[in-house]
Amino acid sequence: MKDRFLLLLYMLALVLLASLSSIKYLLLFLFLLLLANAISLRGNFRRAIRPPLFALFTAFFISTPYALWTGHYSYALLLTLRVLNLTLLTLLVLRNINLYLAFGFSKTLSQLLVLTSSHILLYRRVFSEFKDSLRSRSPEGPQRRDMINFSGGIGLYFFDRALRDSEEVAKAMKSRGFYID
Amino acid sequence: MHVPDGFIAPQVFLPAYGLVIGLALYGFKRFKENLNERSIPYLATLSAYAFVLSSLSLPLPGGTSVHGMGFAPLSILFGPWTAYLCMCLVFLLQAVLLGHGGITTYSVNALAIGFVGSFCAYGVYSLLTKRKYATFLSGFISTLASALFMSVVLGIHPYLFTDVDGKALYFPYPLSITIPLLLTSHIPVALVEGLLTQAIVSFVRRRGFEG
Repeated sequence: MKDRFLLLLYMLALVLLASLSSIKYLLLFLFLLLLANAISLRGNFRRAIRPPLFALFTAFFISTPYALWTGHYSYALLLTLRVLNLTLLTLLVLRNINLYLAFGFSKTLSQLLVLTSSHILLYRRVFSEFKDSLRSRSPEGPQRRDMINFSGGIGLYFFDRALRDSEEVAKAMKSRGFYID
Repeated sequence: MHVPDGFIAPQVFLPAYGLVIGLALYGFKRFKENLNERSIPYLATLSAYAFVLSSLSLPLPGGTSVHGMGFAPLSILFGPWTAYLCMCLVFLLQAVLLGHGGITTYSVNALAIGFVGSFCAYGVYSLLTKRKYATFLSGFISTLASALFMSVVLGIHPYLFTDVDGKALYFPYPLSITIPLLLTSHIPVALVEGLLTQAIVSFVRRRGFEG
């Protein structure tokens, strides 16, 4: 119940932040969100730095040509502040709620959520392993053909493996009383 | 094609949320008809495939990004409603796990890629079902249809949301930039999408699953 309530509050805060066009208020919210994130992270900043950096990069990439083209330089600041605020709010909320509980109103949805996210974790690990193995086998850098052949073969192998794994997970969930509602 | 947080106005994303939720509630009934012990693993695997494919993106200077999507195999094998719901789930996980595509822009992403893409893929496949390249064309055309829908949604922002000085408040580029940019940049993606759709649907059918 707590997780669903927090999710609802988060959605309302998102709408509020997305509606703001005043740089003064956005700066105030940014200060509050930075403070809240610093307290919530307790010094562990390293793993939390990537999403805000990515958001900043995207905002810069989109707003800068427009600001230079039209001379509306404050647009770049407005967009950057809004994007940063929304990203920091999302990071703060996601650290403090359990998504599986928040979306647990349907058993079928939860089942699919568990299965899909378990695959995503597997695929992400496989992707980084694929990059490492290709790098270690090609000291002078892999050719384009090597990359296509290797990724095609490994992709098919893991697609097949993921299918077998999900069959097993689905059976395991069913045997533990997780029926389709 | 994912739009990050901060670029879409609440006047657009809130009604779009209403539409996404309404469609999802109706689609959920159709979705449950497709579910059984045999189909769930395929659904999960193809949803994860869509997740991976749409996570690998390149940003575009005129706005948003370019990436594959992976909804066409889901739509061909399970029908458009199931594909739509799976894509809604994929975007949700992307937004919360990777920060890829935003929560505020989730509804527009879900409509453009999940709804328009899935229904277009199914429609093209159903029309050309006896033809040799139906699966390829389904992936190819539906990818471009999604890109076109997204470019229109983004491109109307500078006409609707500006301040008194004419400065854009949300997405800044007009239709004359978004439509050609998103469509041309998605042609190579649509070709790859078509080929992957063909390969995956054949692979799944070879395993004896017809959907």
